[in-house]
Amino acid sequence: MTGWQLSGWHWAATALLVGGLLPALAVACRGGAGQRLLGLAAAAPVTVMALAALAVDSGQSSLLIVPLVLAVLSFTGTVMMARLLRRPTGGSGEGR
Amino acid sequence: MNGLRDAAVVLPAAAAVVVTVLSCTGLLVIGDPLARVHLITPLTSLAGPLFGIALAVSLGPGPAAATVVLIFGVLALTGPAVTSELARLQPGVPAELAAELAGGSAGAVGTGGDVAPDEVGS
Repeated sequence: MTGWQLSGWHWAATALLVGGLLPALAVACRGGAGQRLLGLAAAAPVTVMALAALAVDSGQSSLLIVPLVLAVLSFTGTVMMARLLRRPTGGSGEGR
Repeated sequence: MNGLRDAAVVLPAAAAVVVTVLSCTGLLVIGDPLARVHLITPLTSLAGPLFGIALAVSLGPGPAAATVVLIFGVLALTGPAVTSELARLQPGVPAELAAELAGGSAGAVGTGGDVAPDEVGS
C-alpha cells in the first residue's frame, strides 16, 4: 500500500464526513418526521463509505465488518421506522 | 501498469465523493419533499458502487475485497426499497403513485402486509 493510498483514503473519508454527513445530519434535525428520516437515510450510505475508507486506510481488514453491519442495520432500521411512521395516519409523516 | 491501477482507484473514488457531496448538498437546497427523495438514489446506486470499485481495486483480490463488494452490494440492493418506503412517507404523494410504490415496495422488501392484494403489481 503506497503512501498516497494511506493519505488518500483518509482525505476521502474526511470529504465524505464534512461534505456528505454534515448536510445529511442537518436535514435530519429539521422538518417533519418524513424529512428527518430522509436525512437519516442519506447519512447511512455516507457513513458506510467513510467507515469503509477508514478501515482500508487502517490496514486492518477485520474492521470492514463495521460498515457491513451498518449497511444491513440501516436498511432494516429505515424501513421499519418508515412503516411505523406511516401506520397512525396511513398517509404522510408530516407534522410529527 | 501501476499508474493505470492508481487511476482506477482515484477516479471512481473522486467521482463517488463528488456525487455524495452534491446529493447531500441538494438535500439542503431543494425544498420539495418528493424531489429530495430522488437524491437518495445517487448515493446508494452510484456513489456506493463507485466507491466500492475504488476500494476493491486498491485492496486487490482477496477476502477484504470480497467484503467490500458485499458491503456495497448490500447498499445498492437495498437502496431502491429504502427510497420507495421514504417516498410513501412524504406529503403530497398522488394516490396513484402511492399505490404503485406500495406494489414496488412489497415486491422488494418481501413483506407488504399492509398492502391490499389489488394494489400489488398495479
